[in-house]
Amino acid sequence: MRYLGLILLLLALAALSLAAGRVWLAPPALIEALSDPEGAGRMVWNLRLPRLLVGMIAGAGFGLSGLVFQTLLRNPLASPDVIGVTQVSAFGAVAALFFGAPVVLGAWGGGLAAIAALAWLAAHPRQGFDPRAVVLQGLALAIFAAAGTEALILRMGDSSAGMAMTWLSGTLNGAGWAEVQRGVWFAPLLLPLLLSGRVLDRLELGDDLARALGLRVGLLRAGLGLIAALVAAGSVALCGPMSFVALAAGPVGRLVAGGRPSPVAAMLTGAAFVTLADVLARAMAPAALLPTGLYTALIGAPVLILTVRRMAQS
Amino acid sequence: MPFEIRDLSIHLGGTPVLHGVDFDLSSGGITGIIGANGSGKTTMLRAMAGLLPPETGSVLHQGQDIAAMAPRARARRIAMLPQSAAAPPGLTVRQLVARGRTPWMRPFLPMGPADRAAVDRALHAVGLEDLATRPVDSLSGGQRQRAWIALVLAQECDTILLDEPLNFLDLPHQTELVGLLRDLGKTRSVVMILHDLTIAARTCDQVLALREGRLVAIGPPDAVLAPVPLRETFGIGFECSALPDGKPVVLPAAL
Repeated sequence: MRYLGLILLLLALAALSLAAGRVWLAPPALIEALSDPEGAGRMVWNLRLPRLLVGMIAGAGFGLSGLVFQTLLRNPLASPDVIGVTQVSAFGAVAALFFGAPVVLGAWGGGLAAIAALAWLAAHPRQGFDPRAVVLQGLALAIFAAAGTEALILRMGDSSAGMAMTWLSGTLNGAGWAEVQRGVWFAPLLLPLLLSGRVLDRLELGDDLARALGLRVGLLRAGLGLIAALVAAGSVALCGPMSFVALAAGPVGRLVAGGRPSPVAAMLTGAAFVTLADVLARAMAPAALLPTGLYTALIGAPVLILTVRRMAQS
Repeated sequence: MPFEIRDLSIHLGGTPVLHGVDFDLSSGGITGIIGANGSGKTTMLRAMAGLLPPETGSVLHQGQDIAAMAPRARARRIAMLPQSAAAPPGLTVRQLVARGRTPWMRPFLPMGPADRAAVDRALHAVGLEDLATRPVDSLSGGQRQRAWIALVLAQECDTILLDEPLNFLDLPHQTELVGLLRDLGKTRSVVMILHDLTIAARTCDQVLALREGRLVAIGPPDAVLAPVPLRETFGIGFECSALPDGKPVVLPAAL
């Protein structure tokens, strides 16, 4: 029942997302459109529905990977867009654009490279795993990857550079059924993260206690970190790096789940977040179609500040 | 025999911390581990919990090598409470204690009636039933430590390892907790690290003294908490006397 409010919110936002755009659809028109994919509903079925689904899958992925990294690294700042996973994935995707390779492969390759680099940078020969080292070195990795991405964009032609810049802001423009198919293909990766609630909860008690409770801490951390990196990369491949979604979804989801690390709440929050941002993107400037990522940042910053204040108060 | 430690050496980050430690612990009762800072007490306890792989030697629990046990099976036999464990903000006492059921719970399934009954028993044993719905971070230091002890009790192991359970507690809370630990020692094997030698003398059935990763002495409190082994352990002199009721008091001679 705890998640019912989030589910209802997501459904309401989904309906709003299907109705919103240059042509607003009233509820009867929306129902008619949904029941007639070949006729009156072509716009909804061919443009708005795939856009909604891609946004929800990517948002769910960002939310889940954000919560997993924040919990594994015991740091609310340690979302994939702070510790470099998103930036290296984005670098991989832009490099793929630059060399004419598939963007998905570039983004996933970047995600794998990021997690390998973080594991290598953070492995302390004396103290073992050090979450602070991961966050700080991840921050350096993020800056390094962002510089690499800029360098590639500067060497692109004007039209490619413009496209890459829009994509780097996080956009659902042009998302169609091909992207939905790609999203469905990577969605099974969300499942292990979705089932990781108990593990994340026990890891919050500290490594020694988690191990004394029978958890294979090293294996679980490496496995979940790897999957969370792939999920973040998969989300980046779908719609570019949407600012703040991964960072904010974990804490907001925690607030809903009574302070516990809840993958379900983080996933629903991430999906709702991107859907809301996309509704705003189309409602505020339907003609300009500004990137959805601009709105995730605009909403994410105040939401995160309010959530942190609320958590501190409670 | 809960523990047989055989020629145990452990290195941390390439540095040797325990050197060829060898001893047996008899079943039941309370064993205190004493030693100066850096003597290897926590490393010893973590090795006994199976959290550190031996460089050489072995740790046997009831005749079985714990390095060969699956983590879950090990966690059903040996519970350990690390030093200064911290509960996540907002976690209630019952939620914390329920974490102790982890080794017994089926993956992805919620707690069953047996788990809930074990949590109730653990809360009852530490006298925290009335505070079960309170957040752990709103409790006093003594209550908080009892909540953590309830977590290891809910694990329902016959061996409990505690790393400095009396740390940061005032004297009334220390006294209260010692009473609880004595009760636990009647039905389980309890091994704990202690700094207060008088409390060790009055609480433990046997004491193990370490210095620089080597075993100095092991035996009943009156044999180990005596001036000669204590000087060997800490490098300073101690006065060991008895109160009129025969109970021991151990103090550094320089005080």
